[in-house]
Amino acid sequence: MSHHDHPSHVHHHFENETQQFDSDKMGMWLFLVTEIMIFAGLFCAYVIYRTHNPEIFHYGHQFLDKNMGALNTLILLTSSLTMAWGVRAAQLSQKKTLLTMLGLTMLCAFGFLVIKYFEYSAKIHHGTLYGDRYVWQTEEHGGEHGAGGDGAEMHSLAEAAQDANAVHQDAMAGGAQLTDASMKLPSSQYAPAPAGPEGFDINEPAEAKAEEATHKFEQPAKAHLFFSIYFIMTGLHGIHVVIGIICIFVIFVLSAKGAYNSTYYTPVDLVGLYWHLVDLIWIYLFPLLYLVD
Amino acid sequence: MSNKSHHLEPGHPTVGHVSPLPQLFMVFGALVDLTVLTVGLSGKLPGTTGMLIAMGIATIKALLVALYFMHLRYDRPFNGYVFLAAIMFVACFFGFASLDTATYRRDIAPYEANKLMESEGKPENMYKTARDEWQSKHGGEGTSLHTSGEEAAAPAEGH
Repeated sequence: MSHHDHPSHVHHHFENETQQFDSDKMGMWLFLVTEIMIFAGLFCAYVIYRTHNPEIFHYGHQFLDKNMGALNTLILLTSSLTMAWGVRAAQLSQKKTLLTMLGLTMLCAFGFLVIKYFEYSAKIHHGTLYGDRYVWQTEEHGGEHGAGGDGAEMHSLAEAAQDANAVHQDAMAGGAQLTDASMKLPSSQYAPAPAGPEGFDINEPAEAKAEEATHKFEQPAKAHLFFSIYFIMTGLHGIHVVIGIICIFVIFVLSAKGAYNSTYYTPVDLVGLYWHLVDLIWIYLFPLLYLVD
Repeated sequence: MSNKSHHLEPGHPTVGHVSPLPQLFMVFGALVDLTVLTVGLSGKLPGTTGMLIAMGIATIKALLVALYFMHLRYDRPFNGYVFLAAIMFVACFFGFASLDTATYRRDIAPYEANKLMESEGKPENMYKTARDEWQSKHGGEGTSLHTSGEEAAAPAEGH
C-alpha cells in the first residue's frame, strides 16, 4: 500500500485504520490487565488478613459510612454512563455531546473525590488511621505499612501482648479456654486493650455503637490493619481517579479543538476503557470494605 | 463480531462498535438497581453467605460494565481473552494464597498466645501446651476457624 492511501491519522506502519485501531485497543487492554494485577495484589492482602483476623474487619467496617460509599458508587456508575455516552458521541462526530459528556464525567470524578475527602478527614479526625498506634507511621508512608507493616509490629512487648490478645479473644469467641493465661483475662477485661496512649476515638453512628456493644470484644488488637487496607486500597483507587480526571481533561481539550470524530476517536475510547476499569475496581472495593461484615 | 459492520450507516465510524443509547441506559439502570440491592442486603446475611452474595452482585455489575460499557461483547474476541486470562491468573493467585493461609492458620493462634505468655514472664514451652489445647478444643469440630479438610491434615503436621 502506498503512503498516500493512508488517512492522516493512520501511522505508516499500520496497514489500515482497522489494524491501527485494533492494535491500540489491544495495547490498552494489556495495560488494563496490569492494572488488574496491581489491585489483585491488594485484594489478596485483604483476603489473607481477613482470613486471619475476621474480627478486625467486622469491627473496622463499622467506621465506614455505608451511605457515603453507596453515594460514591452511584456517582462512579453515572460517570461510567457519561463516559460511554461520550465515546458514542465521539464515534458519531457529535462534538457538543462529547464535550458535555466528558465534562459531566469529570464533574462526577470530582464529586467522588470530594466525598472521599470528607470520609478521609473524618478518619483523620477520629484517628482511625493506618497503624495509628505508632508515632513513626505518618500519613505519608501509611500506604507501605498497610501491606507490609506486620514485621514492624513485633517491636514492643506491649504490641506482642496485644497481638496475642486478639488470639485469646478469638478463642473466647469460639468458646475455647486456651491456657491459664487466657483464663486470667476474662473477656470483659479486653475492652481497654493495652493499646497505645491515644486508643481509638470512636464517633460512629448510634446503631453502630449498639451493634458494637453486642460484640464479645470492643476493639480487636491490630484494628489498625483494617484501616491500613482501607487506606491503601481506596487511596490507590483515588490516585487512579485523579489520573482519570487528568486524562479526561486532556481529551476534553483536544475534543474542543476538534481532534476527534467518527474517523478518529481512539483516545476517547481508550480513556473510556481506563475510566470503566476504575469504576469496575470500585464495584468490588465498595462491598468488600463498606458492606460485608 | 467484525469491526467493519458499521460503516454502512452514514456518519458512523469505520472502526469500533457504537452502543445504542437505550442499551447504555438499561445497563446503567441495572447497575444502580444492583447497587441498591447490595446495600439493602448488607448486614442482613451474615458471614459467608453475605460475602458470597455481595461478591456475586459485584461480579454481575463488573460483567455489565465490561461487556457493555467497555464494549467487550462487541469487541475483537482477543481483548476478551486477555481480560479472561487476567481473571484466571487472579483466581490462581487468590486460590494458592488462600490455600497457604488456611494451611497455617491453626498454628498462628497458639503461637501468638505463647507470645502473650512470654511477655508475662511465663516459660517458653507454653507454646506446645497452648497449641495442644487449641487443637483439642478445635480439632474434629467444624468451628468457624477451620474447614474439615484442614482438620484432617493438621494433626499429622503438628506432631
